[in-house]
Amino acid sequence: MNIVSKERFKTILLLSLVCLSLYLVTKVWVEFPYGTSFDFLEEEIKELESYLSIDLIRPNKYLVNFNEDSHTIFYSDIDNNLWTTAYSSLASILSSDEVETEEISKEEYISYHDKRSIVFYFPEQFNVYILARFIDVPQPNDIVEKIQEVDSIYFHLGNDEPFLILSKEDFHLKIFEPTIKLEALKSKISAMENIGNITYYYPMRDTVDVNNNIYIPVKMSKSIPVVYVENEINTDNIEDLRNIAELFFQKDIDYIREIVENNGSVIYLHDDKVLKINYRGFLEYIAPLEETVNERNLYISLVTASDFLFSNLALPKNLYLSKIEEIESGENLGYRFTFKYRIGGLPVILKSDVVEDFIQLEVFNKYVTNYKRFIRRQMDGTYDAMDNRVMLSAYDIINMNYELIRQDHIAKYNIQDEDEEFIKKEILSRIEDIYIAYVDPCENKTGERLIGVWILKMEDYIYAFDVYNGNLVVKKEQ
Amino acid sequence: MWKKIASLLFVLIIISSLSSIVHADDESILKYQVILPEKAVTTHKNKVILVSGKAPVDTGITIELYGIIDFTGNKYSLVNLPEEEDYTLLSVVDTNSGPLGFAEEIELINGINKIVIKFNVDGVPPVEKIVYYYEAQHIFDNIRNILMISTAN
Repeated sequence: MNIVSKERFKTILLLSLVCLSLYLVTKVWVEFPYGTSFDFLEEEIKELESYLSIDLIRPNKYLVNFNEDSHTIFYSDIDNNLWTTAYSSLASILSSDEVETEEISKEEYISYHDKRSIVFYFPEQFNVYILARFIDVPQPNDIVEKIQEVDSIYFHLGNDEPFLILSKEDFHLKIFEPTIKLEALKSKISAMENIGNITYYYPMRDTVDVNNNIYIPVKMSKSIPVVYVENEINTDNIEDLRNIAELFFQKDIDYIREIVENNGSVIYLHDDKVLKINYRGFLEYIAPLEETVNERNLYISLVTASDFLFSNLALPKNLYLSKIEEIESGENLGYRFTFKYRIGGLPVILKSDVVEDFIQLEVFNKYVTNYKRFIRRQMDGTYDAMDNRVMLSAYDIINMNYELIRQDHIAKYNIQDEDEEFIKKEILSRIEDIYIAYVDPCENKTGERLIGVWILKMEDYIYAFDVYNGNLVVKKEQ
Repeated sequence: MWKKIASLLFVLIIISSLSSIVHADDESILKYQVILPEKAVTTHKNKVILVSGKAPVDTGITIELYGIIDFTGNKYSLVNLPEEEDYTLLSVVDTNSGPLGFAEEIELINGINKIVIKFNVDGVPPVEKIVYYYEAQHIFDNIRNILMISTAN
């Protein structure tokens, strides 16, 4: 009897070991197509997905094509929720096993802009697998292999068979799925058309007869809000700064070393970690890398970045991931993530030479080594006030400032004795983007009025021109 | 003999000078162009149309919009265009050309529209464009109403 129960116990133990090994193998092979690290926790994925709910990855530009004669562009989607409506269809397509794909030419892609459709443009080329995970697709289909990164997504909204086009630069993948329904998106576009008051955008290739596919308006139908901002961090109050230091180091201020510089900047030190708060409100945190990271993993690094962002100071609304760069530090490989946000639906550009971007993190898989932050928030009582002046269009702005742009182009390429018509075509074909934004002069801690500008992004320079008088506000060489 | 040679030379000089005058006119006319609308006669689905073109900087340009207010029931279309005298002037836009040229949005009326672009320069002829504007949604609603009536009957 004793021998029998011993054998039973051994069999049960063996069976449970087999089951456990099967479970672990499934975890490794099925859930982990990305990267090679095995210490990636499910809670971390959940955390990343919860961060997604505040739209970490979302478009920064929307092109709506009503028909071949009318197109419009906007940069914020707070009222229409077009992206949130569209991404459920994108999720169905990325998880469907009935998709048909076809690579199409640039010319065919451009011709689809004459059909009723919407194109979502991202600020960065995003990995399609990560995008799929972010929109709740645990097991994406083979589309993620056919196009690994994407910078825009086209949704066809005509009365014929709907389709999508995922694009990366000049590579375009047309995707059909028999069950896809885009009715919600179609009705939102129709409603937008019926309300009217649309600023129409025209392709430059048609309007000024140059080889450029970007869209520009010639007349503005709307104005932009008047916005006043203030620093998020009140550098005049040392107690506030100490609270921030305690939050970063998770220690009482008594255990943190504090150095106050003559210019008002404050430095906090704990172990090897440094937190510096500039007198203008610019915060920088530096921490050592605790181990060598020879292999970078975008997914783990994004999880680390989101975890870090949420565990420190509160984040502004409308935050979005704007740039991903690969970085190296000695033998270590990591990423630099840049986050930006919008005020009044528009992107904000900082005029300051000290600070370039709002939030920037350097991440080596599980370690954040550098964190920079400069947040300016909209002041209470300054919402909803519109500027009554008539805005200049992108066409007006280029016309008014053509001579300046021409001079820069001639100086840059040392052009002599070229035909003026040729120079003009060359300059206009080098315009990469033109959009409305705010410039923050960064001169005052509080009560700073943002300047509405047209950002003209060329291959070599970025210009910001005042939307009301066309004057140059900022010029930066790229 | 000398008379014949002299008269032949005279004729040749006149012909060559005439051709150079024509050539110069062609060149100067090339500087004044309408880019949009591209075709002389076209249809348009949007109430607003872009009129754009090229001209030397600071050239004055007048864009006139003519329409048809049709009480006769002629039902004008692109195959049944109205006579010149049937058009009524609806709006005038004055603009100037910049380094990019010129570009103005013009609001169309339903049906036949005639857009006349005048470069205010001697010797440069005006450019006429006929645009038939129809509201796609309006037509769609009409078809739907017809279908609903026919199914109700």
